Amino acid sequence: MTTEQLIEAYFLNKLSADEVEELKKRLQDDSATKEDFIFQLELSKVLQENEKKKIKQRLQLLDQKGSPLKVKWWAVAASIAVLFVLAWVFNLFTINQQNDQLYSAYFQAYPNVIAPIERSSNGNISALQKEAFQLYENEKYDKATLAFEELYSQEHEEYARFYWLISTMGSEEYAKAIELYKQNEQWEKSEFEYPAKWYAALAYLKLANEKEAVHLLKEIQVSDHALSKSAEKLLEELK
Amino acid sequence: MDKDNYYLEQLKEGNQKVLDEIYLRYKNEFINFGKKYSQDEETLLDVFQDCMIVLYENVRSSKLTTLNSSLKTYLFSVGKYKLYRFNQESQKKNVEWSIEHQEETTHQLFEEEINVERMKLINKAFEQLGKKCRQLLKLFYYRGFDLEEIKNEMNLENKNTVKSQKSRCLSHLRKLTINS
Repeated sequence: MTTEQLIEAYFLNKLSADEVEELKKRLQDDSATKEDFIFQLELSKVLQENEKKKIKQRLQLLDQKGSPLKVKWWAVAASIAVLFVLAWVFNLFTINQQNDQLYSAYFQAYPNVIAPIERSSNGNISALQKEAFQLYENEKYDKATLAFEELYSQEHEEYARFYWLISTMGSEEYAKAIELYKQNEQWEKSEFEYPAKWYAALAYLKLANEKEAVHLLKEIQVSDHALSKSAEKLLEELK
Repeated sequence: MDKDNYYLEQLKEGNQKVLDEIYLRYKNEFINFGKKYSQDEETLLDVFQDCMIVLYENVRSSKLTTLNSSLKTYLFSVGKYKLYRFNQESQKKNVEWSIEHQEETTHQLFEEEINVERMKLINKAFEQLGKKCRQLLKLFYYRGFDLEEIKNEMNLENKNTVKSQKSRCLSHLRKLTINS
């Protein structure tokens, strides 16, 4: 076999131990080919790691979803929405390559979002809630904004305000999103504290107010919330 | 067993819903089983998730095509090994738990020369590649499709086309990596 064939077979896992030794010997004598080989090795690792991350995330989300707690599904929807909107908001304002990367890293989680809503539609969910989330999922953000606003005025629940905020961002009303974030002093008592901060930070970024964005991102970064890593990453990109 | 084979087929196709199903089906049982090795439920859950990853990857990359035992036995034996290793390593001191171990360990050449920083650059550059290139490289380096299989999967003319596209994609990726 030629060295090229050996390398090809190596990555397809088709080499015997002897052949691997043979390849090793040949590569040691040929530094350019070896370098090329290591590049391919690194690529295959990268692809593996990425898939692993996705599956791990998927299973972790599944655990949250399987929890019997009634309130939980809001949290699940929120965390999935966070991932999804995170990818999507990034798309709006960062350089393409970063988006794509984040997009493909996080977008995976999106299909799960349907399940919690279907489940809740079995009962204990109001028509308005259902409508609002349906609009939201169908990316009809203008209408979703109104629906969540209405929902919030009826229930005064934090989740409604949270989705209202994200919907305004979907409608590209970033200043409104920041206003919604700022008007509420209850975030810190809710499970949406850090997600809300995250979106506010993104809205600030969109409005080119980097200072405020960085301030919020730093708060998220030092928290133990799942978003802390994303915040850290974004902070690094902003440097 | 039939069900197990069905699972394998579906996983091979990339049906992750089946992965969810298997996970939920054996999760609790695994946690009970694992209590012999660790009392920490979070660790056990984490290990079981890693077992699912091993299963998925081995099926997707065709390393695992048939089961000698039931799927459950397979998963639990991967898990047992992982827990055993985990206990060994945590005794040595908090070595970070790695999910590198892949049941059927392959001979890794020049593993020690892998550069993590460069991997990050490759990761970034990879997303800048066109869709076709990403698909092709993923099929080869992740799924373990040979040239013939890639030809069929991507409706390409012949094996040589696959070969030349592959090397074109790789060299493009290298350029992108160097430039970033």
